[in-house]
Amino acid sequence: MTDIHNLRQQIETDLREGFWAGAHAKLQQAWWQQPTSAAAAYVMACAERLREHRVLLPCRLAILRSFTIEPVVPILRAASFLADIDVTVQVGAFNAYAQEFLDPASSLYAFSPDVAILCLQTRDVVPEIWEEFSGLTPEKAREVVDQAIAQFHLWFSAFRRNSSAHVIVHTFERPGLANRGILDHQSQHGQGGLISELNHGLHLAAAQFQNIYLLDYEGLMSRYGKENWHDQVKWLTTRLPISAACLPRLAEEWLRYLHALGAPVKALVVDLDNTLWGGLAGEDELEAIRLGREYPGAAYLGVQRAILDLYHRGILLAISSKNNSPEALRVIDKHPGMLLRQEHFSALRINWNEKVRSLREIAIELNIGTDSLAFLDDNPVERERVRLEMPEVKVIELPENPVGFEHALRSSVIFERLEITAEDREKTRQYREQRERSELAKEPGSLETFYRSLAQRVEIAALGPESLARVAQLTHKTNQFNLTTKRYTAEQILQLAASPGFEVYSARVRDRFGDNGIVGVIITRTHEDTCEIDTLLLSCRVIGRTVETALLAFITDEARRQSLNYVRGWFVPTRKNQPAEDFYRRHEFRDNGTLGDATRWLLDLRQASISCPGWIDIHVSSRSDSRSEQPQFLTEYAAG
Amino acid sequence: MLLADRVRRVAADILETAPEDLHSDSSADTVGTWDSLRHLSLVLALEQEFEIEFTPEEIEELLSIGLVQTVVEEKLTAKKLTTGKQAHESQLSLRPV
Repeated sequence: MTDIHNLRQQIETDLREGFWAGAHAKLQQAWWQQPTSAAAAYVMACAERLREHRVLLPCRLAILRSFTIEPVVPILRAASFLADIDVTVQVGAFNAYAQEFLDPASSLYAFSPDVAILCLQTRDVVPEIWEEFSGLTPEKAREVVDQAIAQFHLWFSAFRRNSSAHVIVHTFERPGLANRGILDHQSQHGQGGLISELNHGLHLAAAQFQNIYLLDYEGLMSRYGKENWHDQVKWLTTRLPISAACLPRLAEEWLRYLHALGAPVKALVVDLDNTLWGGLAGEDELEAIRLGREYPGAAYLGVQRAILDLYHRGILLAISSKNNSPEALRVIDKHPGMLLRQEHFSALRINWNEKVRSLREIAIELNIGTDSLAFLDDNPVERERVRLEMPEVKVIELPENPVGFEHALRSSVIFERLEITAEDREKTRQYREQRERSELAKEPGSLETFYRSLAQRVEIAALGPESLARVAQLTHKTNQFNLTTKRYTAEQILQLAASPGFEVYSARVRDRFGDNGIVGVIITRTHEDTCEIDTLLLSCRVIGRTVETALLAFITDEARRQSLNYVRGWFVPTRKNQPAEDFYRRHEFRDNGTLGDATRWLLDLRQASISCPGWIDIHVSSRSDSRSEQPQFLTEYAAG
Repeated sequence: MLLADRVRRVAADILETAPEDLHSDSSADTVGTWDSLRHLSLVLALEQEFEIEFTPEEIEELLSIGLVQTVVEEKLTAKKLTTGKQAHESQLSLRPV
């Protein structure tokens, strides 16, 4: 552990000399050693100078609360800044959350948050249950809980009418010591039981709305111990119920949600020797490799179990190891203790190249940005190297002792997800198939032969309840082939689809290797004689296989069917969407001027046409031809 | 690092000033950023740094950097003295009454 004073001097030097990656890496190190209020203030002081040299994801966060929460805010901002999320916070007035929710002109909505956190204490929402439970009749207690649940319904629906922000709701804690002591546990409807019912009702209420998520507050407290969590002195003197030591824990828990909402990691790249197992594949006999149920192999088994859980969460796995490939693969294939086998990995770099190079290659092979990679390696030198040369990669800090590896991995905030779509679960299989496809592309023969051999079928369908979550997810996750990179929540997608002139379509691609799932989104808006393409995106999984052209052909056919004269498209450049830059030009659209960075492109349907490539079988789901007739779920949406 | 310097560093972070600019008699009256919310942050930061917990009365005493240094030092000394004693007492308390 480097002394904090020395570390700060090094950070100052790095900042003075403009060595931004170094300053950032050392600030992170200082933060991990001591994630405290003082360190947070120091991080934010450095952030002023570092800010313009990082790519930050902005996030406007509203906090609605029933207790003093202010001291958590600087800690959250510092932790988020080090995770490249730039949080702007508005804290609502004490116990003003009901008005804030219900009044469309409230400061909450004026702030237009991306995320709102609702942190209320049980004692504030159902004071009767918290303080007077012993004297309450069962009927009265029940009524109090039901009323509270009804309130949440009311608040959530008011919020959804006024904002499409994500909402994170703390669940309700039980008292550490029940009012009636151990007697309370003898009935399902005791104080603890009723608070569980309140939480159950909260779950049901949240499930009725888009993007309302729960935070298990009781579970969070129990992780650190309820008696450590509470601070009676601060509570009685300043209405802050949380101890100084646990404030950073709450900030970290919130950060999990911001990660899941903003910058999800897509792939984990792991080292092998002394990370997945103890020992060296190239030097030790198979029997000498430490991996299994007995210590010390049990520590590595735990790491593999945690990695396997991430795999099931939809995180892609890859290997970067300095080894001779056959020797490493022998352990992976043959060692009886291995939980992870070759089939779990989507990309392998087992060679003597620098890891920085391997990471770049893996990102290219998986068609994702290097900023979507996480890196796990027991060697602090390799970790440092990656941090300095690829500051965008999320490097997982590990303790020296492998006993702590599993916990470090499991407690990492970067892999959090709030939803797993069917596509996520299928993804790894699809990437493996992709590897086989790439190998096919390397076979001799023309490109057209390759396209034909894929036997692609593109299925375009109007938005339906089953595709809504995936469509919204694609607008958030697709960076490369995305013409306008507009991010929409499911709620916003619904709004668009229900608006006059707008159409929202999803595109599924199947080929002879399997079903790629929904990988494309089209949003168009018809205005007078022009069809304008609001959104056209395609997951990187299927780029470069002419599916894009098929989608464009579909758009122009639809426009022609409605007797329109023009199709207009926009290209809005981002850091990542170069693959889409030439798209309209290649399809004979005319350059039609610029607006800021964006270029406008126009196709005159009377002069040009776009046809679907002959090797793609395009299929449009039958939908009502009468355009006035909306699908039922949209009609329901518009009505309620 | 000396205890007094650690206290000054923590206070300087929270009050957004340089440690050199804080002296024993620096207080809410002389440091512009030292308001009531900042005072709470300072209390919390000291508790985190030194793994101590102040009583309400002690929190009211923390009126200047010099007083903060005194109170923190007293608490750390008391903590050292009682650690052994507490362990002994907790063993006793496990006896059936």
